[in-house]
Amino acid sequence: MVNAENVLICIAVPFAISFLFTKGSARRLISAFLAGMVVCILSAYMAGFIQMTSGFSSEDTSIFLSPVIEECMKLLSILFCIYVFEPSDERIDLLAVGIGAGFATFENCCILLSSGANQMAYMLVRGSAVGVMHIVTLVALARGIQLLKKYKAYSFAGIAGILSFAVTVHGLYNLLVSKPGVSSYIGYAMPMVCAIILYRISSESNQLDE
Amino acid sequence: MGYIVGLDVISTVIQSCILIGVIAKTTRLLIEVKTNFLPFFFALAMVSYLLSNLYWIIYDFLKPDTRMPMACNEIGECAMILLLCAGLENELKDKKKIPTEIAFAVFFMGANIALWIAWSGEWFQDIFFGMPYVYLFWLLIRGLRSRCSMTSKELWLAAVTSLAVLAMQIPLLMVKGALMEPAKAVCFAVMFALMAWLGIKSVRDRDFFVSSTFFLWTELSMFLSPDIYYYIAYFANTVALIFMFASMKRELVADG
Repeated sequence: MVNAENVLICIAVPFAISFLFTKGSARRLISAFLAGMVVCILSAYMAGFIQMTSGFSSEDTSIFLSPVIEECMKLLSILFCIYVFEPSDERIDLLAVGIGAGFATFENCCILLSSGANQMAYMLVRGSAVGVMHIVTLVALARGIQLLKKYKAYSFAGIAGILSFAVTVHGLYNLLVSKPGVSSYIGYAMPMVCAIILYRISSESNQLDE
Repeated sequence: MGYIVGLDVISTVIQSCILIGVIAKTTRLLIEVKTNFLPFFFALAMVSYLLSNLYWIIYDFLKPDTRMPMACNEIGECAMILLLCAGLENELKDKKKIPTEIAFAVFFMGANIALWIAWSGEWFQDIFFGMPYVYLFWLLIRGLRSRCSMTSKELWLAAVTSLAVLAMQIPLLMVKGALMEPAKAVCFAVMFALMAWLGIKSVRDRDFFVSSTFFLWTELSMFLSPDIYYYIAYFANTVALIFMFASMKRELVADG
């Protein structure tokens, strides 16, 4: 049992103090990072509540429910930023990476505290798989929203479609790693492969724009 | 039972291979053409469909003989429909909201959803995942009418035939015994006749809205068909993916 709120306070306070000494992009990144951690704890509360009310087992919750809840929460946070602050494309990227990294870091901290950090290999997998997955799905969400904005095609169908896409990718990852063996190795490699593909698409589209 | 599961896996693998081909071709098209909104969202929709197929296959291997507590692969299908809607609504120039078209879309898809519920008993899931189909159906009706892709006679024929198929599905839920087979044969003959006509029209006209209508009809037919009829509809659904790509490419090349 991990008191997630206490962990959040412990990590968030130094970041909050660093606001006093930073400005511009650095401050925005720190805010997004903090927001990501808050989104993570809220998602955990919601998943726990739905698990209790629906009677799902903890395995079923992590395979089927968590991707839906986590991606919805991440999308809501990025949509909030887009609608309230109306940031440029570059700032949307910054916010997406910050929220994703904050989410992944906080989730990893809680896992570390609950299951220990004795196994180097497990920690490496945890960092390079789950950690990367949250950033990849959020960057994909942000890129999709940027494209909708670029073509003035902001519609519910477009945003919901991109969200469902992110949920499917996340759900597939959770399903693959749910059983030990070959499937879990494929699952652990999946976020990195997605990150490389996303990076390639981004650099190609940047070149085309130039 | 094992034979059916085997057939399921093989047909899903074949469709996934076709999807990979369509995605690869669309990616190449993305680089070639100037307007990349439709091909981008079409490619994303196809990737979602592929992920949905992969999810289903992987689930079948990892947890055989266990029912999903929540159909996650349907989220992938839902993503595919929504992303296709995003692409189509950008192509649609005349977005006039005509009440009769909206009412028909809601009524027709509502009747479909009611049949899915009668078959599966999953109220929430069927209504939730059915909603994007209502929007797609309305977009297609609007597109077919505003772009004059179908004459009003053809539209009426398609509407009456598809409603007749739905009406003939109701007795199939209740009729048992000797009457079952003839009722099935008539219903599926009409269903596949409409499918064949839409397929031929997709090849002939190479219009993205016509081929998308063909694709939607194959999807709906899959949901309404048991046994061998399901696999025929599934095969048509796979073919529809190629027709959709071909018609999209033709339209993009024509636009320059």
